[in-house]
Amino acid sequence: MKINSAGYQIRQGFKNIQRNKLFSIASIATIAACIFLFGVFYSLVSNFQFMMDNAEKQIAVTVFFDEDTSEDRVKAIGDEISARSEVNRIEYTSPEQAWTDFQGQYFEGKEYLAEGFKDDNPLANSGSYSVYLNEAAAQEGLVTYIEGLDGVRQVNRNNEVAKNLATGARLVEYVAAAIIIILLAVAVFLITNTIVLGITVRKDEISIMKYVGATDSFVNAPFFVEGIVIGLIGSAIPLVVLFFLYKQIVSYTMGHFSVMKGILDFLPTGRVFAVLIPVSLILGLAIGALGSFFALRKHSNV
Amino acid sequence: MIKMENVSMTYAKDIVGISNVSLHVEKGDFVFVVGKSGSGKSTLMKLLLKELDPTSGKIYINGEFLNDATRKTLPFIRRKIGVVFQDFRLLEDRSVYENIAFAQKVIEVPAVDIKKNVLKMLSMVGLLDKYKSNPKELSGGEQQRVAIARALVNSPDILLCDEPTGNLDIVTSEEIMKLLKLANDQGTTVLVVTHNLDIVQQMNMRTITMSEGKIISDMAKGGLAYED
Repeated sequence: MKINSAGYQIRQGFKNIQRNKLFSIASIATIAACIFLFGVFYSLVSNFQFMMDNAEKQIAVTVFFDEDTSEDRVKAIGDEISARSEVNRIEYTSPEQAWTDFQGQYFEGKEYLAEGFKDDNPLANSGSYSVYLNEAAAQEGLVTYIEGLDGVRQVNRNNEVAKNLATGARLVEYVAAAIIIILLAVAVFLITNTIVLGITVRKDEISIMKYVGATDSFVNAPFFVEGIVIGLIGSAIPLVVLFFLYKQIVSYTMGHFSVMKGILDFLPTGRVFAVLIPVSLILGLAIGALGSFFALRKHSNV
Repeated sequence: MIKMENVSMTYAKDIVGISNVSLHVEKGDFVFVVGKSGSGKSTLMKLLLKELDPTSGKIYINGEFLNDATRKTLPFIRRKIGVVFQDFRLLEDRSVYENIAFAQKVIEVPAVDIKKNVLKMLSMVGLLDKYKSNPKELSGGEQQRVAIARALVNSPDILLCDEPTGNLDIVTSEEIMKLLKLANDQGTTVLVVTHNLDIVQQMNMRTITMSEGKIISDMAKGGLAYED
């Protein structure tokens, strides 16, 4: 296609939007609503995922050692566990530290109770590693591995939390994906109808074009321009709204629910929108192009 | 130029459009196709434009085998065919000039050539002074002249006219026929489907008569095989 013609096609695409103003606005509004909901779901899911990841990183498996295990062996066990990819970090608690912690926790104000132990450490065999995971789902495999290590007496785990977090994260992902797919299908359907209307309005013009020998690509191009422009406008509007809304909600929540800091940790705006902007624009463009494609495939034959 | 070999076309429910039609139109010919309603004239036109595909038989346009034309190749075959309809089919949201220029624009003729070609056509059809007018402001005859200018502006080898005088009075019809004859004199092969027998007799050209989807006569000069 020649450059002159490309300019003509783009102008025609915009003219189509103007001619079908009402339907174009309706399509833009529908896509905007879909992309808005997509943005809301994405923000929710990504933040939920972020909080889950943080929570998962708090899950620790506690590893205790056999009575006669040497310090060198304990260190070797720590190195072997640290080398695992599912392990986020590992913390060693010595028997002395365990006893000090215990006293602080249970004998506070009643220090005389500990005096009976004198220099004995009743937790002499309670040195342990706290192993923090990257994801809860990996806990089971890691525990099996650690239990197989020489010198390991016992591994304490938190099966319920790990299982619930992993299941929760997966459930949210599936529900969000299903809703987004339905919304996108509705958007494609509506934009198809708008383009079909545009084709119907311009049926005479299209038939003349085809009679005088215009190629399919020349005839179809303005409708693709129309669909793509509607798609892009429809996705740009909610992005602006979401951007300000997200900032407001995060700052309001952090301001009013500061006690929940640590649980309610939000992703920074930049990180959410670094993904949301390109994905939404590509989605808008794809919805527009797909809508035009379906409309033209059925209705532009002369 | 136009060649049909044993062409048949049957619509759904076994309604016959045309049946076993063979036709040969040479370059520079001027041919009328006449017949009553339902005789197959319109089907013949649609087959030549590949709006319909034949059920059997072969069609050649300008030596190109039309049956095998694809969505990609058809536009280039159609560029060598001009079409004029009974209802003019002008675009009412643009001027006379823009209507004619449109036919060039959509086949991507360079802008500098478009202006030159459109003015030449306007001059030929005698509407230079109305180039800014909207088609709605023109008489039926003037609208048909614009349609003819649009059909001829891409210099087609063949001009197909479907009842070009169907909506016009006798005087205006004669003017339109003169224009078609002028195009023919300049080398364009013209095929006119009509049931205006007065015009056919007056023009005294090769006349093909159709009835019930078949060609029942093919007379060299103005002969008619049926009466309206």
